[in-house]
Amino acid sequence: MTAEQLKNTGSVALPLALLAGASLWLLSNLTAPQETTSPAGGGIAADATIEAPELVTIPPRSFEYRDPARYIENELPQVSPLVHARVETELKVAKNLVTNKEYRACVVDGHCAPAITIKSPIDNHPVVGINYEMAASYAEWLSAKTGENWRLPSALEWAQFAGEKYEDPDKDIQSDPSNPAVAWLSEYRSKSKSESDAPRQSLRPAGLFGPNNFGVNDVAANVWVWTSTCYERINMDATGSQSRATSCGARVVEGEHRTYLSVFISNPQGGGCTVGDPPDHLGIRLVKGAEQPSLWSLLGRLWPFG
Amino acid sequence: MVTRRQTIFGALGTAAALTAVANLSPQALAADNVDEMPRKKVKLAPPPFVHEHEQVASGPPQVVEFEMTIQEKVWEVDDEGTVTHAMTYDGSVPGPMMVVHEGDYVELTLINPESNELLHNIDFHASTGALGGGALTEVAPGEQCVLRFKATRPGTYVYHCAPGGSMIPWHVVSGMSGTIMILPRDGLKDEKGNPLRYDRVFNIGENDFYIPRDENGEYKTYETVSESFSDQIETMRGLIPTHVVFNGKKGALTGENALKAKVGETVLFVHSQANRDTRPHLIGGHGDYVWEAGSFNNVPDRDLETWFIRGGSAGAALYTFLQPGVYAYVNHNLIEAVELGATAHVLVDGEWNDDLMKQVKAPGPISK
Repeated sequence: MTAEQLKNTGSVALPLALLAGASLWLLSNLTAPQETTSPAGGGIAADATIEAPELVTIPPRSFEYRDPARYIENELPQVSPLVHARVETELKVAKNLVTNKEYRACVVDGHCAPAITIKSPIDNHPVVGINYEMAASYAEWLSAKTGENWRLPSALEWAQFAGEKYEDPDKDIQSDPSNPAVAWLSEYRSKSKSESDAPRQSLRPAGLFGPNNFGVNDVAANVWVWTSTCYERINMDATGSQSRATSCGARVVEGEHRTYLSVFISNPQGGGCTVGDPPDHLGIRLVKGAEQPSLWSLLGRLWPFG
Repeated sequence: MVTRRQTIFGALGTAAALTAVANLSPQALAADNVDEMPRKKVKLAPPPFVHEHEQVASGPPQVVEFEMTIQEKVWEVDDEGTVTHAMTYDGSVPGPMMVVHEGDYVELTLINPESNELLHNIDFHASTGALGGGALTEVAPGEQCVLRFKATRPGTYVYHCAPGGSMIPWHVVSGMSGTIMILPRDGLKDEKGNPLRYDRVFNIGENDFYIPRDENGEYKTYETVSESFSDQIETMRGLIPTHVVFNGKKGALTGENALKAKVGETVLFVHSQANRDTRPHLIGGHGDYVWEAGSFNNVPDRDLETWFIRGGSAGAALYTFLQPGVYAYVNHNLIEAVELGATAHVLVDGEWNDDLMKQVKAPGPISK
């Protein structure tokens, strides 16, 4: 190995160790969400007959959380940092996934596009065949109908209510600064392993997969849900300078594993990459109340190389 | 002549450096070498034409730099005003052809402008590793990347977009494919090793389009590329294309756009199809030397009437025109050629050769 190479390896190896989880960064100062009411509903009339979903309140909690942004350092993809998130506010989340019956009311009202499914939907099954636009439209419609602020969770909030069902998506991912294939292979092996334990493809009535420790039903079962978190890539060069690109044409989808999907996909045939496993079904889970400050602004402040 | 080995060592210079080289991994060796190699920037030419290039490399291997900007655009596929949202490399269907020599390094800057809607990448069948480079080239709107790969196998090879899941076939049948031609350093050869040269290259990309129809059978249009996705996937799953065309559009290579050649000229037809099998045929001519599967390491087939291009490959056919006239170059599934659009014309000027063919008696009444 030449001196030049050693130098390069050294400069990559230290941050890599940090990125891979040797260091946990404390995320604090997450401020309380402000309750906002009645976001603009685009002319949808409030309707007392539309019932708000049953809620579960998730207490403030601390948990390990994998940053969903993709990191590239010195032109090489890196494992995203594992952060220690301490969320100091409660989160109100719907106990159940949105069902076919609930979603149909929005379709009948002319606000939501019909779900794209082959089978005829059963009322009490979770609605699937949903792209991001449909999910966001439904939240908008429900907010207008109930006069409350319903929205899609961020990826961080999903982890907050998923509790023990949240599995670090990059737990077993290894990486090697000089060999990108190490990460690809370990990611594939890790996802194949988790896929073999995954629930069956066939849908079941909402709630039948049971609650998690917080009482939220069907978390990380066979319906994946859209989050509001956009695709983001963070590039760092050897001088430590950093640039980021955000593309909201793709969003984080959370479930039994995490992936990114283009917002117009309702029935994925492949995962985040050519060889990944696709989510089984795409549906909707809503949270209530205003969103907390973005993780990125906090990370930006804590980023050791920035 | 400077060999490749000499070039590598020459670049490092001293005997001390030679010792160090012995301990390097092959990748490290190549990487060090590439930084010292000569570089050339090439301006790509839109199909059916090909940028200027040498058939025989006059120097040692070099790094050849290309740049392509991805353009999503409304695209007419026939002469009846049927439109789709095409996804293109550098604005054309197929993308421009890149030509390098074996041993060169291809260095592509791939730009996905902010104005695009979708994430794209590039999978080079000619390259080795990372899903053909696809895993290293995913660019979201507003991003660009640079990929370098070594051209180790001479031949004609497809490149195409492959951004994951249903995006892969959708992007490919929306026009995102092209060809790279990697020439042997000493040029093309026949089965005996004699040199073969061409006067011009035609870059022909064949595409199958799947345009959804409404309940009245009319082709549907969509405001944005993403809105067309669900319907298009459904049409694609039927596996029956609505259009099979050369260079993106029925009529792209006929009429005023017909290809041109002269008697005595040798033409290399490079034909790519990134998705579906096809079978080019030159009506009234032949394939004198045909690298059907594209690899120039194989001996070319001689005097073929029709040659087979496997979906996901590019092949090359060399032909010297012997007679003047209007030639039709078709996909010899004649339904696809005539009804769906896969026809090109070649206008060839020159002197007629009576020995090869003569009208002994023109059509007239039966004289018994």
